[in-house]
Amino acid sequence: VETTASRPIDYGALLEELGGQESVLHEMLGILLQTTGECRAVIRRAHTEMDYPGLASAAHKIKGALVAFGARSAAMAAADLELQGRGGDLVAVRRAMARLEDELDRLRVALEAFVGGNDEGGGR
Amino acid sequence: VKILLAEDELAGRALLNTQLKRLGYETVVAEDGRLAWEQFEREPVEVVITDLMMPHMDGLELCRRIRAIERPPFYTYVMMLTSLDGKEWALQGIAAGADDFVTKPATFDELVIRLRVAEHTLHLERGMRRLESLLGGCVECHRVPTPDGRRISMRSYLTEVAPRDERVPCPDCRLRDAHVSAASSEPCRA
Repeated sequence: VETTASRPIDYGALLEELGGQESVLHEMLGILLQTTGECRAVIRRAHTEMDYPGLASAAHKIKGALVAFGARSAAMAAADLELQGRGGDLVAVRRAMARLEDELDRLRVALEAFVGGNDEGGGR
Repeated sequence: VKILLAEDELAGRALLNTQLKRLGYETVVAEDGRLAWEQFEREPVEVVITDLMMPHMDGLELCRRIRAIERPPFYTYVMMLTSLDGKEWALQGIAAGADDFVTKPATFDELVIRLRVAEHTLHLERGMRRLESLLGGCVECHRVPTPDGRRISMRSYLTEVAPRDERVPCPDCRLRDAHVSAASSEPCRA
């Protein structure tokens, strides 16, 4: 059972930050879903091409979005990938990449459920 | 107060922009540092909130360019945002001329506090400009004349020329103080 604490994003806290406007929350989460999808594609491409500076830069960018929305666990994974990308250690990059992919999968499922109105827990 | 928001990352920009509007600010957004600079050149604003790392021009360079304007029409308060850890970045931001440096995420409450400081600083800067005007300051270089015929900045004037705080109570306050003193020295009626 997924609890509020284990959710990738604290919707309640975010809603409060947005002054309690649910329509704005939905709009913002839709933008986050779009942004993380785009950044993820850039990260994957950089990883495939072993472009580590590009990978670190893309990881930094997605980290900014995740941090802004309070997606702590995914943000930490992005921070780790950014760090490993700057270090250029192939094994460490691969491990960090897998961790971020997992976190982003969790986030995508949660965001799609919320934005699509299928978040049964209500999220708030 | 109008705010120029420079942030390349869409989701963070949208969230921050929504929060600023919620606070009643008028905003202009730019998707990178270069676009922010072009916007600022077209229309200077009193507050700039900029991300540090951006493509084409980073927040440090944007800040340096704003500070390099020789005769700005007004002071611009620059708040730099970053998700980069470490005080080294903060020091670089301050060295570039930023007034404030905020580590992401900035919560709504933190934003309220920081912008209050920004507005207070801008209020003082506006007062300084008015003081320059009263003292016969130059409309272009803003320097003010000294009694010995030099022209110096307002800040130098305040430390070098302006007298120390030698204020005395005005007649109204003297009268009020006298009443208070008289009341407190009345004998007890018991």
